[in-house]
Amino acid sequence: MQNIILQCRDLSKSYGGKMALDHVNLEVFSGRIVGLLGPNGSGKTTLIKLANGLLAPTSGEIRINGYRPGIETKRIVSYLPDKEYLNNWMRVGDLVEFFSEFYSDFREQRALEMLTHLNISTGDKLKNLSKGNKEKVQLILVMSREAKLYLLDEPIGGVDPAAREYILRTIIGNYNPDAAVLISTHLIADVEPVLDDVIFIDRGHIALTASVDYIREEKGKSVDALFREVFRC
Amino acid sequence: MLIKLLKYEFRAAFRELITLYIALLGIASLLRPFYLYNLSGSLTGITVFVYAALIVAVMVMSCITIIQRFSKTMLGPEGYLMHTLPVSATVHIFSKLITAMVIVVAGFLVGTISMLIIAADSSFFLLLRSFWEEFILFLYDLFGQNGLIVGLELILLSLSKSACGILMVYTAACIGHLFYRGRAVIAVFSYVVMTAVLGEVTAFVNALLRTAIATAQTAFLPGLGTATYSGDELLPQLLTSLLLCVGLFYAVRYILENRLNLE
Repeated sequence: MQNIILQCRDLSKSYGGKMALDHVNLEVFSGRIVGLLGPNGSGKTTLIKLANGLLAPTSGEIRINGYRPGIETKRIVSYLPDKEYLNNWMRVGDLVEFFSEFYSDFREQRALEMLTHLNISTGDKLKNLSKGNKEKVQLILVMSREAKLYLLDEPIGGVDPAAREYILRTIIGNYNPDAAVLISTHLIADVEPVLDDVIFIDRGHIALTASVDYIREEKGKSVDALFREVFRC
Repeated sequence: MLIKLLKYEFRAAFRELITLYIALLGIASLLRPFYLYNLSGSLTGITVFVYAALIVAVMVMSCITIIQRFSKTMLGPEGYLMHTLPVSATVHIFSKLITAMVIVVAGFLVGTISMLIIAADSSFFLLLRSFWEEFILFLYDLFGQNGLIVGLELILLSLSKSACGILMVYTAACIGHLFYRGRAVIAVFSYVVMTAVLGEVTAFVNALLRTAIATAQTAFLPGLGTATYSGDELLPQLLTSLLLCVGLFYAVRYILENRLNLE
């Protein structure tokens, strides 16, 4: 049975007068892979950061598994930011140990296997890795958790097509099937094959919430085609 | 969780400071023969200059490390990692504060050890022992049976004032974080204003506590022993300092829990 893992009620966030999210209402169910799709500046990252407690809402509320963002939610949410956020001076092995110590759901053996598969040694310092490999290390650490909600902010932005395929395979191959995965991206065509549901967000508002099957069957279009139509300039 | 955080914090904070400590102790070892045998010359001058520069570098790097460990990990890019750990803001602040206090104490100890390396010999230790014995007698003459309590109060007062200073830096950084622009400038301005305002507030609270303790001693607890030193009572100062620490701690925690905006 699916339950609501992420819920927003009249959620708003403004930055010094500029509205980034405007009375957003949405629900994400467990066991679903959801695409949070929108152009740059639409509010995707803001929504994800609110879910992680990295931003304070201006009004409204956001709940994960019934809780406001806090210690209880951080135990079950695995977050991949859209930037490099790990300490460059640390070795890969130190980061694996770090995640293992702080997250009880971290699967160390799986992380080590994935790193070995990429020929990344645990003795490598993060600062000596290429940008692509750094991002893969971050992804491996995040996806090695048995979380209930994975929040992936632009996981395939800024990498080559081969790396994008690897990243998507890693996501699909390693997430907890009972969990929900929320992937924010503007690269629709790449993620569409893995999505169950989509949320279109435009200038802080939810423009559309639907399953991928509904879009294909009822609207007779791909998600990418619908996205281009909805967000036509 | 606190122990795990401290392990990570110590590693991050001391990885650069350790190099400076080793360099300082190394230069002190080089200076020792110059000092003991009263050698002079350009080499001595250069070594003394390097030693003095390293002392300053340790002090400056310690301050920078204390500020950066908080501002970068709680309010900056590393906050994406720290604030998504299943750890409360209270534990985060304690981990930063404890690490910062250890940095202060470590800097003091390394500096002291470096001076001992340069100058210590058998006559020095005899002099030190004699000074210590006279200091203890001085405390007993001044405060009677409360001499050791006063000694303890002095240590606790030094530690609490250090903690207050560190928490004021954290509070100023958090106040700067509340704004979208000019955060660093606002943080510095907040620190200056807080220093002035809290200075007056603590003086007022200190006076109130001094009166309260004196009244309590006279009326209820004659043996309470308000220690006096240079005209100021240590116990009221210690209590005021601890109250200030608690107030600043809660201010930092409130902002981190309710007003965080990591961009």
